Formats: sequence, C-alpha cells, structure tokens
Amino acid sequence: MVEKWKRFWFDSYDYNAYRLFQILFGTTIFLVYLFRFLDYEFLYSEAGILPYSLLSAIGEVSKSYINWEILAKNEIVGKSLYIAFLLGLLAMICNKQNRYLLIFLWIAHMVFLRRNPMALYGADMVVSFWFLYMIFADPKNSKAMMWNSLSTRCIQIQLCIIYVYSGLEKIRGMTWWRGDALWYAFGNTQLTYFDMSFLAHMPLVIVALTYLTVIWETYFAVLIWFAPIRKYILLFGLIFHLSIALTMNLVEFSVLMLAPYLLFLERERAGKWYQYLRSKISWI
Amino acid sequence: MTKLQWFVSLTASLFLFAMAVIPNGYSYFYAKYQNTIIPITNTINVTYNWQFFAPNPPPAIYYDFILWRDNEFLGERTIPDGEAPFFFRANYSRRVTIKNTLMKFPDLVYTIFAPYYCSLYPEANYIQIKKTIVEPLSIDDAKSGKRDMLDESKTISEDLGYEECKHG
Repeated sequence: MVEKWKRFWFDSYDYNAYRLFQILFGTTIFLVYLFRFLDYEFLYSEAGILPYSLLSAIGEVSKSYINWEILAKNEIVGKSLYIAFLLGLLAMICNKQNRYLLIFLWIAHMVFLRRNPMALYGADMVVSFWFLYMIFADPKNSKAMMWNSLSTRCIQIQLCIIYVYSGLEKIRGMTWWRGDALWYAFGNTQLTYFDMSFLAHMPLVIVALTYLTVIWETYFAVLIWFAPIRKYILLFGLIFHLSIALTMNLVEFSVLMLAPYLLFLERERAGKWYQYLRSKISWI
Repeated sequence: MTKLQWFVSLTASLFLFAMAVIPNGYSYFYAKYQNTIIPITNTINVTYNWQFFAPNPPPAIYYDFILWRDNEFLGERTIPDGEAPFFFRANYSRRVTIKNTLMKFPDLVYTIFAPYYCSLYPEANYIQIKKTIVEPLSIDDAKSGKRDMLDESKTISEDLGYEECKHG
C-alpha cells in the first residue's frame, strides 16, 4: 500500500509529456495575453473600466492576505510586468526555464487576474491552476523527480476536479435533465459562430449529445485512472473539446483544457511526439 | 518513503481535498472552514465555481449605455461590444464575462459602468441604461424556419433607468 502511494505521487513524471504540456499550454496562454494587450487600457488602466480605487467595489477581492494587484496599480510598472510576463512565457516554451521563472509567471498571472476580477473567466482560472502546480516542477532537473511528479499529479487531479464539478453543476439544471441544453448553448449568439438551426430536425442528436456531455464530464475523474480505457476517454475528450472550439468558438479554453491530457500519455507515445516536434522546431 | 515524501504527499492530498470542497458552497466543510480557507485560496487565486453552461446555458444578454446631453443623443456603448472574431475570441469572451459580472452584481452598472461611459463623453449630462435579452430560439421556430440561431431580432428589453453624469 505504501509502495502504491509512493508510486502514485512520485513516479508519474515523464519529461517528454511534461514538455509537450508546457509547450501547448505556454503557446496558448502567450497568444491569449498577447491579444489581451490590445485591451490593456480598457481592462487595467486608470482611464479604463475599473480604476484601481474602485477595485474595492468588487466583492471577490476583499478577502485576501496579499494584494498582488498592487503591482499593476502604476501603468508603467503594470505594462512592464505584462511584457516581462510575455517574455517569460516564451522562455518557458523554449525550455529556458527554472523554478524561479515559473513562480514569476504564476505571480504575474495573478496580478492581472486580480487587477480586474470583473473580466475573469473560466479559462483564466484553469490557467491559474496550471501555473500554480507548475511552480513545484523543475523539468530540466533530473534530480527533482519528486517535485516534478507532484506537479504532474496535481495537474491531473485538478483536471478531474474541474470535470466533476462541470458535470455535477449541470445536473442541477432543467435543460440538462430534459436533454436540450446543448440546443440553448448553440443558440447563444454571443457564443455560436455557425447557424446550427439544422439540429432542430435531429432532436435525438441534441438529447444524446447533451446526456453524453454530462455523463462524460461527471465520470471522467473515475474512468481516466483505468489504463485499458484511458485512451478512449482522452479521445472522447479531444473530440468534445474540438467540437466546443469549432461550434462555440472557444478555442483558447478548449486548448487549455486539452493541454493536461498530454500528461496522461504513455511514455513511449509522449517520447515519440516530443522528438518529432523537436525535429521540426529545434529550439523547443 | 522518506519523511519528506510523507509530508509532501499528505500536504498535497489535503490541498487537493480543499480544491475539491471549495467549489461546493453548500458543503459542510465549506460552511465550517470558509472564514479560514477562503482568504488563503483568494490569495493564491484558486477560489472558483466550475459552472460551465450550468445550471442552464444562458441566453445572449447585452447592456446598453446611451449617453445624452439634455435631449440630444450623443452615443451608445454596449457590453459586450463588437463582434466575436472567428477562431480566436479571447478578448470578446472577456467582455462577455464582464457582462456576466454585471448580472451577478447589478449595482456595478451604476457604480462602475455608468461613470466609465460618462467619462468617455465629457459633454454628456446623463446616461440611460438598458438590458436586452435575446429570446432563445425554440426548436419549433427553427423547424418552421421563422428564425435561425444567429437572428437576434426577438428581444426583451428592460429599462434600468437614468443616471446623472458627474464629471470631474
């Protein structure tokens, strides 16, 4: 039992899989932050939607021991931090990293989340968790096996927690019980890009997809730990998130959720993929 | 197992247990320990409810801010504004989130948004605020071809009143 516990926590790290995860996650979040810079004035400046003095009007930030957002109070300091964060992400993608860099990235991300909590959405929180668990890791250091494994496990388990809640919270809603929730999700013009009206002629498809979504999200946390069916669970997840990316246009969110899937890959497969990637892009 | 490994694995288990409890605001643990745990989890920014499209997918909702100088119309701003670009729409998603925050904390419309939009129009002396909900398309309407999913013509509008623009 003790041996199993030890193996569970401290023998899960695979360098290739971890690097694949970091590259996919880092590239996505780099693009998200790069495009968000266009909105810097609107989101984070004194002339924007939420001047620093009005932050206290937002309930969520009130209870905290450290006010990270103060680092973005001054616009020049805030923008410098933002640019340093982008450069840090590039360093991580290129594997020019150490634990201090990962801690810096985590803190910088928190600064901008807390500077404007009104604009914080699910993808930001997913990023928060991946950064948090990455600070334990020192991927290039082979002597840090214990911490690298810990980081891997925490990310995997957190992914399970996210899915379980996504499934269970849906069960509280009538539309998910009724089986037409996806119709209304597709029908939200702030999300959908394509006209999916044709689905009205396929009500059974809507019902089946709605129930499958809830069942898969709720049971992911259990099924993923059974090695013989793991690849099917991951494959379903891949199709699920790519569908969300395509139909609901939530590309960045889908990729951020898919990135930790790479940590579930078999070592041999992860090794092949990473070596293939390196053969194409040598600097990662 | 070394002592350090025991300590690290048990601490990680405890932390992940907390991460599993926090999103459930109704739980016994949450009720008992929220005053201790929430400031800590806020500090490291891990307090969140994972409610994607739950409990039910919401309809499209817009907040309109219309600027006036006496009876002269000066301009109109909307949250979320602009159009969602295809493929990479993180910035638009953030604006949709701002709209969701407004729905959760309606007072922010008056304390933060009205003053902000007033500041964009220095000559405005009052601002009119409206909330518009796009009526979800029914399956029957879609079948009969009355509307399609991208049609936003059927709406319910709610007047949220007028606020004075205080400049300076």
